[in-house]
Amino acid sequence: MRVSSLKRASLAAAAGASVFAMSLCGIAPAQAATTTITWLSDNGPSAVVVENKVIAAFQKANPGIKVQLHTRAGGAEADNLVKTKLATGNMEDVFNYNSGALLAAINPAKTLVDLTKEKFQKNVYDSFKPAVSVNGKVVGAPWGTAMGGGIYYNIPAFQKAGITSTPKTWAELISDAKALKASGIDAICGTFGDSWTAQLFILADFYNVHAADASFASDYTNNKAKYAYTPAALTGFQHLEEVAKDGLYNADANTATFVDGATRVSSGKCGMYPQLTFMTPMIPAANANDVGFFAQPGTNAKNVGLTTWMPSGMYIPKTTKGNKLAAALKFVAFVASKAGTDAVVAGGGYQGPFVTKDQSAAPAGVPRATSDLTALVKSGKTYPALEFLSAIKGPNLPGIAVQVGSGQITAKAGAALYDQDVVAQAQQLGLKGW
Amino acid sequence: MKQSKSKLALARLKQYPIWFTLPLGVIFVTLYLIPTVTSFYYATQRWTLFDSTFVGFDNFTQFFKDPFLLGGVVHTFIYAFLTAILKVIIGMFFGVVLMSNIKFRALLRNLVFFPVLVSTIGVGITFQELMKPQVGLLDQALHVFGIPAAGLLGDVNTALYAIIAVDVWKGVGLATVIYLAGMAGIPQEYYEAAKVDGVNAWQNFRHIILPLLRPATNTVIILSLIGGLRSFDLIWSMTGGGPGFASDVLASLVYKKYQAGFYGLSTAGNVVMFLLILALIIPLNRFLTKREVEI
Repeated sequence: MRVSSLKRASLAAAAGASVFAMSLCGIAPAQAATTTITWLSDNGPSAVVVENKVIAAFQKANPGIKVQLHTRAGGAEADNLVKTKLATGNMEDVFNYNSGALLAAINPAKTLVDLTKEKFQKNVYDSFKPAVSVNGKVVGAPWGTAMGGGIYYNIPAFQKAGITSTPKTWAELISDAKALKASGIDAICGTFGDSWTAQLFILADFYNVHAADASFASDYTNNKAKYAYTPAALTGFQHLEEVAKDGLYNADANTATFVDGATRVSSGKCGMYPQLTFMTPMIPAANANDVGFFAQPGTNAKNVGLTTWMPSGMYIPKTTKGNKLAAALKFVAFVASKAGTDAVVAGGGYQGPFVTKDQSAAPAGVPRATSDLTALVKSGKTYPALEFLSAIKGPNLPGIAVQVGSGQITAKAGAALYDQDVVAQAQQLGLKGW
Repeated sequence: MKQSKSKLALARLKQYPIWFTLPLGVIFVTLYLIPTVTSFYYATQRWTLFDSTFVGFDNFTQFFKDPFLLGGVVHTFIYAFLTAILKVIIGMFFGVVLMSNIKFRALLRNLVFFPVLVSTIGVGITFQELMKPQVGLLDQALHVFGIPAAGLLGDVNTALYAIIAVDVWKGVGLATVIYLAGMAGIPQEYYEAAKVDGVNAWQNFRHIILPLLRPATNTVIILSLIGGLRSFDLIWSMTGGGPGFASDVLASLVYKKYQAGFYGLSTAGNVVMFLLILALIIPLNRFLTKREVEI
């Protein structure tokens, strides 16, 4: 009696556990011959819409494969999660993650499947490939659209302040900002409550840095050039200092957040907001035509160009094998095809140009900021941000940028602090000469 | 023979309670003791989750070279000592008041203790909203007193102190309870004898309550100092160490290093923090308990 009741209990527990396990893995009891793969991707509400559209389109084209979406938060939390999952062999069958400098930190040579010889790579622009390559092997496919780093501006606010065209030099930008301030609004949105937003004047200046000093990226990686002693590179820090000194930020810049910035530049409470173009979906539909976007100008009015951010990458971990690997490869190839970009557009994910040759056309009726971005990219005056050219990005740049932007320290001191800060990163990556 | 058997039984009986401590002991050893010991090894490695190389004391040199370390240490000490002092003063005040015969005593006791029960992160986010410039309730209420336009958390000079105030608000309930327990332990005879001698309320407090509350005070000091020295969650949820690095403490500096993937470096920072707290708390504890005995 005792034994049998124990047995029953353990049986029930086992059954419960397997149901639980199934629900955990998200594997619904399905008919045979269906391969189910899991996909780890962003959890932003607008991102999930796009992801589900892509999955639906893929499953329609490949009836034998089911894709299960798992989502994760972004930022540093994603870094930790992705690293841990890869190190413990628990990564989903396909996942997307940053391209560029952050990719180096997940040990791609050891953990990711080599996609160099896959057919779909023929459809991918060569300019994208270095951002997802390691030791000459391409390990990723592009996911989503390219971004630009520059300045959002409120068009009615510019008109009200009597500004007729977007600034072509930094000096013009400052005088425009002063005119905006005189018209009674905050000239430039500072949102240092989310400290990463403070880096934009520095990061989005890289087109200008490169124009003035073409060897900076490689010299910097090889420990030969420093921000504090390279005038062109120091400029970004000086911009922060100048804007703070002239009182062109909002009074609550130190606590305002990214969402505040997006809301205020959309409503015209502030005139300009330096940001990456992934902010565009946050502009309310009613203001879609009020918010424009321009590249961060430098000193030369004849050479205004855009610093670009590559799309993130789709990767397959080496733990994906057999049927699942074949299915995962099909899925990644689909995302990099025209049908894949069609699905992204259908989900409202067109936020700039794709980096594939055969791609979906820009849909009609996109927000003003998106068409501004597309025009800038089409002009050909673009250059990748430093994080796609060098693996070194110090973790304290946000905090240091806030210090300079809130007037706590000078630009020169901030740049010197940042030069010190990147040492730990270079050592962690085991780069030579550090 | 018979005697040894009963001895054995006695020994067994003595062992019996040890089993009750075992579950907690296992948790303590696996989740606390082993990581603490192994951290000394990991601090000498430059490691990722995939591989590691021995670098000797490089992590420690790099950690001490951190330009933000000095500020972090200073902030940590300000935070720890200020919260400890305030919790002692306010906690004792509440303790005395809530021990006396006042209306709604039970309700007031609960109200004082309530913040202790709320999650620290929740408290941090709530106060962050309350202190938001122009829109936060607390910010508007304090505006009459002329607080900075950037808000309490946005001003470099006030951010740390604003967090300290919230920490005290949240933690003072525990100090109060410790004081209440301490006061309940004071025998009534002392008060009665003092009454016969005709002491006033102040003398009562100064010469009976205060000295006899010393053990309670020591507990509050040690607990809030340790808590303050390793404080992290409240600071992280309210300012993230900002603006810039204006409210960064040791723990948040170490966490940022971990977040950046510098696992060896952040482990070295943890080892430094561990030794620092130890070097401070052990002598302090000895000093405080010694005075306790003398009375």
